[in-house]
Order: sequence, then structure tokens, then C-alpha cells
Amino acid sequence: MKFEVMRDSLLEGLSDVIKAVSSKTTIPILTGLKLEITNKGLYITGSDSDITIQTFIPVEKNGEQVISITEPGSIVLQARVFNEIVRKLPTNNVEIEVTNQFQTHIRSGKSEFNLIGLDASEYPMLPEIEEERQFFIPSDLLKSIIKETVFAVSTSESRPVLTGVNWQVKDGELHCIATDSHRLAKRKTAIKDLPEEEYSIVIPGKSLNELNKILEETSSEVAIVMTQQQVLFKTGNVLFYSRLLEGNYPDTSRLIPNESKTTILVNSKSLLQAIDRASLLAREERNNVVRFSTLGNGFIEVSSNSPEIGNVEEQIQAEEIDGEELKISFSAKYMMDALKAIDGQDVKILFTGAMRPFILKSVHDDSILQLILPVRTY
Amino acid sequence: MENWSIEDVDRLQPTVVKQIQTIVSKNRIGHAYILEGAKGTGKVKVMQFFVQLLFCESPVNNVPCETCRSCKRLKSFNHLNYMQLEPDGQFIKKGQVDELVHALSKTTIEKQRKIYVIHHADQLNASAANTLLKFLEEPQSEITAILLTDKMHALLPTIRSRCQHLSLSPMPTAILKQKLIQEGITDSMASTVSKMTNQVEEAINLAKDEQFGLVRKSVLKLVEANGRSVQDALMCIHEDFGPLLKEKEQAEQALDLLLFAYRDIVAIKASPIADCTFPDMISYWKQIALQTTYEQLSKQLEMILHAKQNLHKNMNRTLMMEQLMLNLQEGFTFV
Repeated sequence: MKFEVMRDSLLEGLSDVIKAVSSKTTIPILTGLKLEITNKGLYITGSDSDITIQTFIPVEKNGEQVISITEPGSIVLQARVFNEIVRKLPTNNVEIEVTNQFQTHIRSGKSEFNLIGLDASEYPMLPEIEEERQFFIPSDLLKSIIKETVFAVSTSESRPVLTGVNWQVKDGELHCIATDSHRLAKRKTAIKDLPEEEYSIVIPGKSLNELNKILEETSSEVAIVMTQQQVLFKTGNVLFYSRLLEGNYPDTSRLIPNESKTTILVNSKSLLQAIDRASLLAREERNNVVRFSTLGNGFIEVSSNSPEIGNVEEQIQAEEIDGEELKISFSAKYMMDALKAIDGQDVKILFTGAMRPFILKSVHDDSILQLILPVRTY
Repeated sequence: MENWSIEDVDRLQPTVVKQIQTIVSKNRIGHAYILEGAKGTGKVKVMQFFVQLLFCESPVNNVPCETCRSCKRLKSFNHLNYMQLEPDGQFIKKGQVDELVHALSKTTIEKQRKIYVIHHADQLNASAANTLLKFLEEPQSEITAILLTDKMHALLPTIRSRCQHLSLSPMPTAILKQKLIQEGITDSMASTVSKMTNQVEEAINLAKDEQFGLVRKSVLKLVEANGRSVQDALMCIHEDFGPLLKEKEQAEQALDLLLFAYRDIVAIKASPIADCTFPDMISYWKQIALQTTYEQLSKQLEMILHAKQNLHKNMNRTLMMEQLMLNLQEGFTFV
């Protein structure tokens, strides 16, 4: 294998791929990056076995020749070392040549590096993608979907399936659900040209966080392909693969109450700030519990008390209070997460009693739903 | 990490290898196996053979081809569908099992069976074993567990009952002993080391190890001293065992040898021509055998086993030996 490539393009490709490589891996080949040169261009792949990122550098970009190929082939090189070398090379022309026994020579200007490579055939093989099953989401929308759900995944490993976000494709909509069994975040998105079949997969929360870092805040389309083994996100010349979680995701539709006894309409920002202040005096080891109660005159009271420190009370003007009076306690952290995810002006909170889960929704649309379980206090 | 090698495995363990070949060729692969066999019976080798045969893309006559992509990746430990767990210190801890379960609950990049191996499965601590149990019971996809152990009874009964058992046969002691004598090792030393391990090379190394010779001599001296009086035994511990007890491994060797010595006495009592660990001591054994009852001997064996347990619990070793001597003398337990 032998080719020449412009250093800038190579660096650009490397910067995404290197994010997938973990230094903690126990599998020797995953400390490396796979470089594969074909007649179309250069593919660079990095993986930590959970996520795999592949970038493609085409032979020609904007009518300029980026790569000139002498001989196609593939090699695996130590990721950290290779990345550092490329960054520090003296000229913009990089020549990479692999001779026998995976000896790799990297030349640029007057400098020459000799690296010992690994056999590319031992690198994990990525699954074939079926183009017809893909659908598209704008990048910024995808980012907000991730932001609105992924915070609610479970961090405990006792039920692995809850550490992921459940993505369901049905009735022309994409439902994304995350829960840690104390709270739940759900996001519905209508997407055109969804595949006919129903899909339900669980994507690890960690993978989605990584994906979020790579996605750009633009409206360019991201192609998504779901398979039984992997999910693939395709943006421009970057492919992002993630493993899935096995096991059945619990049916969450029954958890969400249909009717409500108390409905409160309140400015989300002022509620968020009040809860934040109240949580200062809520004890951390007891999940930052704050108390929330309706007062007769259209006000809500948020309070918190911890015997050794002190107590706090704050009243907020609600836009509207309907139904029974209510006293309820919940985790301030969960509430703040939920309010941040909704991120609108006004928020509608639907309660069905002090011991039942309650829902938060945006006033304007139905797409986001946050459910929180209250805490029993005496 | 040990090298991956399946050479000569069919000569080492012909029966089990045949069993494994039948399992794979009939495609009746279970979800969990326990590979049990004494030290030196080649458990790891058999496990590696099993794993490689399961993964190999083109096995020839039920033997892995050694040249396909899967075989090559196993050899370089680059196979993503193969995971293994070894004790971290004394035990396999819950965190390790959690991590393993988490890794196994994800789909794989390449669609294939997942296999995980737990070395020294008897060293799973209680909470780790229970975490594993849950996962052993209900694998979500094609997953096979292989547990390696030399102490089958130390595994939780609930784990044992959920696995298929493959027992490795030890090499007959007589054959091993003969091989050792051919190597120029004395008869008495050969008898002793053939009890300690089941592998020829390891046995030879042990027999030529000066430290081991010292341990052996001290243990025999201790047994004799203990026969005379408890004071002599305690003196003997302070004089000879001080340096030996510094290393845990040597302390364990010493206890093993002590156990074998008492086992010899029982064997001689039962039949004067029994096969002994210490043939050089046979006349002394006969003498003690006359003086003690089976009941006393079984109590004494129990005491030594108990001391071995205490050793693993990091008891002060000198105190442990002293306590053991008192217990052996009196025949009833001191706390």
C-alpha cells in the first residue's frame, strides 16, 4: 500500500476518528486506527468496540486532488502516535507506504517515520448497510432530541437495558424514551419518509453523548440506519456506528397517567430558578428533596428544610392553577433536569395526587413529555 | 496473560476434547460450562481449544484451522466476542462482574456468538457470584460462559446447577511419578511433588526448587516434633518456620504438605502398603498410626483445612501455625 495525501485533509479526518479510540481498551488492535485506501479515497476507522467512527477522505475535493494512490491496501497504526505524528509533520504533503511485515513509512519533507503496524484483517469488520432502510433527521433536531432524553438514562448497571435510550419507529413517528425508573423523558418527532416496518432499538446513553459531540449545530441532514446489531448515523463523510443494548425495553406507555387532578401552568424559568435556590438547603444524601405546594391565591410555594442547616421558602406566581390543592415532594435534581429539557417559556405540570407520578409538558406542543416520581415524605 | 495455544490438547485430555468436539459438531452448545480439573490438568488449554473451535470459520475434522481470521484474532487477543475475567487480588469482585455483564449486554460489531471465560471461578466472592448468577440464568442472546476451577465444591451450588460440567482427568500419579524418576528425581521427592501438581514440567521445577526442599524438610520435622510434645512443636515453628511463613505461597505449600503427611498416616492405618506422599517416613507413619484413632485423625485433617482457610483470610501466619499445633495436639478446638 502506498499513497500521498494532503496533511490538512488527513488531520481533519483524524480529528473525528480519534474520539472513538479509548486508551483503556484491553484489546490490542483497538488502540490503533485502520487506514484503508481504495480507488475512491481513504477510509479511516477508530473504535472502542462500543462506538466506531469512520471518516472518508475522497480522492478529489472541490476539484482539487487530495490523494494520489500508487497502490491500494490497508493497515492498522497506533492511534495516538499516528495522530501526533501527522500533526507535527513539517510539510503539507504526507506519503504513507507499507512494506512487508506491516512496516509503515511516513514521509513528509525531509522527515521519515517508521512505524510498526498491525494486520488490518484483524480489525473488527463493520456491518454492511442497507441504504433503503435509512431515514433523515436534520442535525440540529437530532442534537436536541439527544439533549432532551439522554440525561434520564440510568447510571446504575444493575439493569443494563435502562442505561440506553429506546428509539421506536412507529406510525410515521420517532419515539425516544429514556428512564432510570425514577423519572422518564420522552420525545416524539414526526419524520417524513420513515421506513414502513416498526423498529425498537436501545442505544447506549454513552454512545449518544459521543454522537452529540460530533454533530454540528446546522440543519444538514443526518442519515440513520437501524439494524438488529448496530445503529449507524451518517453525516457528510463521517459514519458513526454504535452497538445496541440487548434485552427488552420495559413498556413505558402504561406508566404515563392519562387524567390529572391538578393542573398548573407556570413560567419555566422562574420555577427552575426557585427550585435551584431551594435545593441549596436540601440534603444531597436524601436526593435533594424539595417540597412543592399550591397556595389558594394563585401562588405556588417551593420550600426545603434540613434541620442542621436551615430552611427556605419561596412563592412563585403561577399563570393558572386548576383542580385540587396539592402538597408534593420530589427530587430537585430531576425537576431541574426536566425543566431544562423543556426549555420553553411556559410549562404545564399535570399532577394526580401526592403519591402518583406527575408530568411536565411544554404549553405549545406535545412532543416533549417529562415524568417524575414524587418522594414520600412525612 | 498466558499465550494462546491448543497444541497437544488432544493428547493431554483426550476424553474431554472428544466431548467438546461432539458438542460443537452436533451444534448443541449450552449457555454455560464448568471446566473442572486439578492444578496442572490443562484447563486453560482445553478452554482455548473449546473457544477456538466455536469461533473457527472452517474447522477441519473438528479441529480449529488456525489460519482463519477468527483463529488469528483469538491468538492475538483481538477477538471482540471473547472476554475473560481473572481475580483482582484474592477475589473476583462484584464490580468486575458488573462490568462484564454490562459489556455482554450490548450487541456485537460482528454478528457471532459471545463467549466469556472466568478463570478461578471459585474465587468469585459472594456478591459477585450472585450478580453473575442472574446473568447466567437468562442470557439475552447467543452467549456461552466457561467457568474454570480446580475446586468445584467452592462454587455456589446455584451456579453449579446452572452449568454443564466437563471434568478433566488428572494424569495417573503412578505414571507421573515414573516420569519424574526417569528425570533423575529421587523416589521420595517424586512421590511428594506428584501429589502437589499434575504437570510434568511443574513437578520437575518443584522438585529442583531448593526452597521447596526446605519446606518439605521443615514440615516433616514439625510432624515429628508434634509427635513428641507441643512445646517441641512450638519451638520448631519458631526455629524453622519463621522465614517460610513470610511468603504466602510457601505457607500454603507447607500446609499442603502437612495435610498430605496426615493423609499418609490415615492411608497407612487403613492399609500398610498404601501409596505415600512421604515414603521416606513410612516407619514413623506406621508408629503414629498405631497410636491414633480414625476419629482423631479426621479431626486433625479438619484442623489443617481450617488453617488453610484462615491463611486466605490473612490471619497472622505465626499465630495461625501455633494455633494449629495446639489444636493438633489436643484434638479439640482452641478458639
